[in-house]
Amino acid sequence: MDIVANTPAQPPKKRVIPWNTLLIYIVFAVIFLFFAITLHDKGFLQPANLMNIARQTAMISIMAVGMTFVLSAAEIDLSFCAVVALAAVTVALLLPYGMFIAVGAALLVGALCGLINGLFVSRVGIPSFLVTLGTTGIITGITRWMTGLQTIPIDNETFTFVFGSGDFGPVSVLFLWMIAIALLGHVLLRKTRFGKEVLASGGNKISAMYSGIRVGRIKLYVLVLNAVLAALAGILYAGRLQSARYTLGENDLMMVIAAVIIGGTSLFGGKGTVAGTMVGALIMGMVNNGLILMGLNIDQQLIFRGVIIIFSVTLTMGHLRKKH
Amino acid sequence: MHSPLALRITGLRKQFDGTPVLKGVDLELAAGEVHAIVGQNGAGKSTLMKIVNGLYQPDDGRIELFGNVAAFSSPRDARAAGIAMVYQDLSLVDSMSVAENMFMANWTESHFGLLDQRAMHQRAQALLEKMGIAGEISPDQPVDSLSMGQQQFLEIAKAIAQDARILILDEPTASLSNQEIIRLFAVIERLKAQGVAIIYITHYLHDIFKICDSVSVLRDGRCVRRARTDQIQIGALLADMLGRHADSSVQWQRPAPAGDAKPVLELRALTTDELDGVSLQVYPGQVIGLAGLLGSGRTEILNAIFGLSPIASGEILVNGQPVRIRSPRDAIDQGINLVPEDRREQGLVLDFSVADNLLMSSLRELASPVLLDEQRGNGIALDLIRRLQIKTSGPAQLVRYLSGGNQQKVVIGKCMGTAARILLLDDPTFGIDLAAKYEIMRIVNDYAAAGNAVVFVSSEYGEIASFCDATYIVNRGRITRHMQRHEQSEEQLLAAVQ
Repeated sequence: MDIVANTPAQPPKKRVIPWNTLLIYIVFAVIFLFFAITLHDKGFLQPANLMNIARQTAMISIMAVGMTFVLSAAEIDLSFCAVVALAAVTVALLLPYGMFIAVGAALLVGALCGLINGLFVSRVGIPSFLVTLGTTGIITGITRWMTGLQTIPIDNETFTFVFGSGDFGPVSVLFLWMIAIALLGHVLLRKTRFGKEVLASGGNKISAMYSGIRVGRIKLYVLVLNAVLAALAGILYAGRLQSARYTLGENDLMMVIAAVIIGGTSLFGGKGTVAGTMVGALIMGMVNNGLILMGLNIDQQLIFRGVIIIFSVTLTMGHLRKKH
Repeated sequence: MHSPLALRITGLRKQFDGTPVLKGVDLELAAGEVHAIVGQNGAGKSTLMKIVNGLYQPDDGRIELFGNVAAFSSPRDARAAGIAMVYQDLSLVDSMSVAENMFMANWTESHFGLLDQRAMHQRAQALLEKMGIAGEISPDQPVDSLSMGQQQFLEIAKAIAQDARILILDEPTASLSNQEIIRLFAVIERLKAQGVAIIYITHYLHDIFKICDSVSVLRDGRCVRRARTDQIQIGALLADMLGRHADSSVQWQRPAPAGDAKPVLELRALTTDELDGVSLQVYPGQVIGLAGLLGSGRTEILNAIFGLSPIASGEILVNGQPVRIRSPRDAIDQGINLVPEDRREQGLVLDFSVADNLLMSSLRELASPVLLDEQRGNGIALDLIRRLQIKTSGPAQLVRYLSGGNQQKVVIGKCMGTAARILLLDDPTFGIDLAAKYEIMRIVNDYAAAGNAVVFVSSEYGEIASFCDATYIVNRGRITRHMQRHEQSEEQLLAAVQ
């Protein structure tokens, strides 16, 4: 049969090797082995230290789950760090009125922040980068003003047990929170209509729109989801530190985004897994822990952390560079 | 010809994957001549131009520029030799000024490596005057303040600024108003007088007689006629374009709709920014063709039905009931689905699997109530793959790696997977090999034969003539004719859309 010419020849692709998903486990293994060997005498492999890593990683990974949805939808949210502090402060201030009121209010405040971000992105059409850059300032300002730059102590023991400080035997309650959110996030992204629509909107928003997906709403929902998870992280910070301060979360932006990207989620949308994000977050937590055990001071930790992030992202994003 | 030849092409051949597209094309173009190239889709026009423009390299044949043999390995080479192509989709930077766009490739710099704004302004002004458009475009104007026609002028000016001596215009009038077309022709006349040789590609045959000196007809990879425009009639051109091909097209049989059937889809005086009082009716089991040139409004009709452009006045009726459709979601809820013009940009998520793409429109039905019913989804996907004979290694394969024809089948499968009873198809066989083309027609035919309604846009009139039960001719946003099946032949459609 005669064949018309202008169909581009498709290279016969036999098998697509999911390098990005494999590489992250290799990176994880390499860093783990490195610390296990060099920090052997400092107890890196002790169960207590490993649980410590999980505890330190919990908040990062909960925020990273939310960020996975945001990046998968080809949006970005810079304001979640500010939401962390606002939610922590809210819960601390309202605890005297009851735990449920305080926690509910803090989550609601988070949802409201996300709603404002989402409305400006989906209705007004401002890029999420700019909207959330602006709301970061607003939210941080409100938090500082609410607390007068004071640390607010928390003495409600039920609250601190459930939201951060408690242990069930050797298992920290933070670890359970992390697992629960990761499982929920995984199911939401992989097994529900919402998850598919998030990935489709990020993968090709025009095709998604032609397929009857309301892309604007999806963008609004992911920004609300991300802010609510950031608020939860804020509540957990408050519970773990048994106090709340306007500076909470201010160093988490780099760590969270790095965890998600290292985990194989595309910065340009359409691709993302919660499982990858969790491994990315664990890498971040492990690096933090290792650097502290090595006895590095804060300045050195910052430098090393930056180097390791760039190194890991370079490795795991190799497949992207070829395409663009 | 008295003047020296600007371009002479002899025996040009090109094949892709063993399929010959150009089978020995000859072409001559004199300086100061405007030469039209016409032909059906797939005749080889775009391949020929891509070779002249340096994008493809010929397998065989000879290209001479002003008497010297030329071989280009990239569009940059062709540019350097004085060949410039003005594409349909313009390549301007909206936020920069006219002058900046004009000199994007060769900035004027002063001694310190700074841009010499004044010199650029002056050069731009001189160029605009040379083209006779200085009155309406000023060098400092931002490009986003220009009309489509003015942007087209700027594209041409940009080419001239780089000393182009051979200009290729690809469908230059497709997006222009009548007024702008008249001005474009004036610009072409001026360039011609200055000795620029112009290749003019178009489907609008009447325009050729207004502006071109001569015309070449391409058919099936060969140049079948070269003539002066004052010595040929439009009818002869049409005959040359079609050839005598002993109609190999398949006759498609569908049961006739019942006598008392009511239209599934009806438009009453539908008016939008681009459409003017469009009315049409589609009965169950019918395939209705929309024929028109590029930019005639045929795509716009489908878009309006699918909720992509706001309706100013008029009505859409589904099963006799007026409906409000303000988004694709509304249209899909009404049982209408669209196979869009650009399958890669509008139809698919390339990095999604075949199954995920097939189910993209049906997620609402698969949510039960929270989790997706994966088993059912997988069943639907497998069923579509089998029914549409999509060649894939499996539902999990990424759509990016399918051939064009199979990608198109995925888009059609996605649209049929919803409970759509009305399918709108926008040039679904464009750029697809013949085998896949036939299969797609068969799928659509079966779909219509099952009592569904189809609106079919195609730029191949033979396809419409043999496939559709009736055809509406679209021209400049209006329906100009309604042809019944027995009236519509390829020749008549080609003549009617002009």
